[in-house]
Amino acid sequence: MTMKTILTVEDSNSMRQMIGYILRSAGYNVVEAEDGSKGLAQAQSGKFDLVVTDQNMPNMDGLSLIKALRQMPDYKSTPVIMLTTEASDTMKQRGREAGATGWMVKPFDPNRLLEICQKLLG
Amino acid sequence: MAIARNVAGATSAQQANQSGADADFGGFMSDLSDYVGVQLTASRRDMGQAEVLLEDAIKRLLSCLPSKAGLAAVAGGGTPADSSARLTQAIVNMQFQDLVSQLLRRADERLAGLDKLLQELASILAEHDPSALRSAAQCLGSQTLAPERRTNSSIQQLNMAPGDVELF
Repeated sequence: MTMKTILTVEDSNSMRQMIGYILRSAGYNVVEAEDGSKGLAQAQSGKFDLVVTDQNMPNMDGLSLIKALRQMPDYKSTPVIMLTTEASDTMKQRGREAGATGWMVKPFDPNRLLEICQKLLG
Repeated sequence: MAIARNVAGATSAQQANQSGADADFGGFMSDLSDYVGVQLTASRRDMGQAEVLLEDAIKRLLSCLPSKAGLAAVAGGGTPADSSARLTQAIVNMQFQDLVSQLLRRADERLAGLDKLLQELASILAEHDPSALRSAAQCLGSQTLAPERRTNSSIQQLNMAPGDVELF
């Protein structure tokens, strides 16, 4: 079985490190980007099986990243999880409209993140 | 004529008094502006330092996390499952740094806005310039839009319990 590759987009160094630690511990290959525009560049240069992104980031936020990804043929149906401090229904609705697959509110439970990844990656 | 001269004299004395009062008020406001500006700068510096310290503390804590394979070794008197649960809890709790950093950044944005407004006010007092007044009014208008309204975002968490998960 080939190792699944996950792109994590997060501007906080510690959060990025934490998410990477959790996903790598579960056997995933992880590529990290520190904001939406760098995440988009990574997505353009390779194919990822799943994307985990923060919302509030400099240069390009998570919603803009998802909208840009959904314009790319390779990422029309790739699962994208928004992992954010934003918990309002309004923001979740905006995420749904942008094309997010799921919404996780921080602080997050690492086991729940892994469950969701496993479910979405099949 | 004498009455007219007295009235004219009284008026110029009043103008002189008014001018002195304006100068006192301007001086006071200028001093106040300097004082508040210094405090704002110091507050922003302290918040920046707090964020740096938080980041460093979490970086050091993260480097202490064992790998899954190493969990059994650190289980001590308990089972690897106990250690795994403790590790999970530690990871959830360490996320306080991300929440606090975002709140500090918002507070810093607000202070930066107040600092800018203060500079505009100081400019008006120094120059009696009507265009500076318009500039200050614009600055005030932009500051009334708090960071969360500008970005449509908010941080409402009051504890470190894990948040909701929703699949669309």
